Amino acid sequence: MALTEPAVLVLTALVGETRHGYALIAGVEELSEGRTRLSVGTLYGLLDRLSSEGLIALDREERHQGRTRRYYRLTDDGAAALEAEAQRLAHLARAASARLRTARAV
Amino acid sequence: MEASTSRLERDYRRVLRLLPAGYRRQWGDDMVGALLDAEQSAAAASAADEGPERQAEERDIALLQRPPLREVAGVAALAVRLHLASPSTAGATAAARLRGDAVRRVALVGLLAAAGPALLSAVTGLYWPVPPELEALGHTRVDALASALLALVAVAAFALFVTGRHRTASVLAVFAVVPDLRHPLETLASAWRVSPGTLLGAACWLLVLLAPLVALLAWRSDAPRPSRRWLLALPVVAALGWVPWLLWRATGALVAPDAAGSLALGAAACAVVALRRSDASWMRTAAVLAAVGGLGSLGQLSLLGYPPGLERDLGWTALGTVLLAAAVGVVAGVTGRRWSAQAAPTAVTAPDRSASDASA
Repeated sequence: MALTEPAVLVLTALVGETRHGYALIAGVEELSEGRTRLSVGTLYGLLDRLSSEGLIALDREERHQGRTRRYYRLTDDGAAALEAEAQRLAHLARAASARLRTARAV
Repeated sequence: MEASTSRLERDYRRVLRLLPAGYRRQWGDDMVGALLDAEQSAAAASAADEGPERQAEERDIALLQRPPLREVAGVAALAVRLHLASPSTAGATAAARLRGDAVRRVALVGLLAAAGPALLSAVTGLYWPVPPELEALGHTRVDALASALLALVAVAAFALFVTGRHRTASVLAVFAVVPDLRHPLETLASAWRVSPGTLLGAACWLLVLLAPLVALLAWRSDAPRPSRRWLLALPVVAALGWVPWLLWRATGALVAPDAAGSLALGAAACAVVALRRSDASWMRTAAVLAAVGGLGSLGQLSLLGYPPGLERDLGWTALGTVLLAAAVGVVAGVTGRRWSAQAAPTAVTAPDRSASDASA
C-alpha cells in the first residue's frame, strides 16, 4: 500500500539520523518547505502506525528539562518501504513530465 | 509535575486527559516536550531578525499562551482513534477495539433505520399519486418528487457506507439530516417561550438525529469494511415500514415507530444477534441504541395525556419504545458485563515501539 505523504516525510526525516518528537515536526516542515506542519497528536498517531508496521523503532530515551524524550530511528524495513515509495513517486513524476512534454510538442 | 509548570504545559496536559490513561502515562511527557519545543521554536523564529534577546523573550511568551486549536484538534482526533479503535489501530487496547466495533455498528444501524423508511417513502412518492387530502393542502406532484429525491440521499448514504465509501457516505448522511435539524434547533433557540415538554421533545429529537452522526466518527480509513450483507437488510427494513399501515387498517390504532422507535427496534435486533453469538460487541451496540432510542422517546410520552386519537396513539407507541429500550438495557446490563469479563482485555496501551524493529 502506498505511504501517505506525512508518513513519507517522517521516514525521510529519519534517514541517517535519529530524531525525537519535535525534531521530527521540524524535519517534516523543512522537507515539505513549510507545506506540512504536523500537530503533536497527528505525529504520535503516525508514529504508532509506523512503529506497529515495523518501519520505525524507538532508538533511545533521554531526560531533557525533567521530561523523557524518546528518539526514533528508521528500520531496515522502513528504509526499504521508503525506497520503494521514492521509486514509485519518481516513476510518476517522470510519466507526468513526459506527457506534459508530449502535449507541448503537439 | 514541576512547580514551575507553564500555562502552556498545564493546559496541554489537560487536553491530554482526552487520551486513554495508559497511553497518556507512556507518551504524555514526550508529547508535552514536543509541543513546548514546537511552540517555543515557532515563537523564536517569528523574531528571527530581532536578535537573541528578543527571541528569548518570544520563547518565554510562548509558554504563557494556550495550546493552539490545531494542537487540541490533533489530540482530540488521536483520542477518538484510540478510544474507538479499529482492529488494526496501533496503540489501542482490546477494550477500545471492542468499543470501536460497537460504535461503528451504531452508525450503521442508525443509517439503516433512516434509509429503510426513506426508501419506502421515496418509492411511494415516486410511483403513487399524491393523496387528495395532501393535494388539498397544496402538496403538489413536484413536492412529492422533491421529497422522494431527498429521501434517496439517506438511502445512498447507507449504500455507499456498506460498500466502503464511508467519507462520501458521511457527507451524504449529514446532508440528509440537516433539513430535520431545523425544527428542534429553532425550538431550542426559542426556549424562553415554549413549554418544558416541548423543549424536552426537541432535545430528544436532536439526540436521535445526532447520535448516529456522532458515531460516524468511529469510521476511519483503517476500519474494516462492513459486510455487504447489510445491504440485504435495507429492503427488509423498508418493507417493515408497511406494518404500521397494515395494523392501522386492521385495528384502527396507529402504532408507527418514529426514528427513536426504529433505533429501539434496531437495539432489540442487535441484542438478539448478540445473544445468539454470545458477542459482547453486538450487545454494546444494542445498549447504545437502546439508550438513544429510549431517551429519544421520552419527549413523546406527554402525548399519553391527550384525548383518544392520533396523538395518544403516538404516546402509546413512545411508551412501548421506552419499555422495549429498557428491556434491552436490562439484558445488555446482565449479559454484557459477564461477556466482557470473560473476554477481559489483556493487551495494554501503546505498542512497544522498540520491539517493532525486525532488523534489530
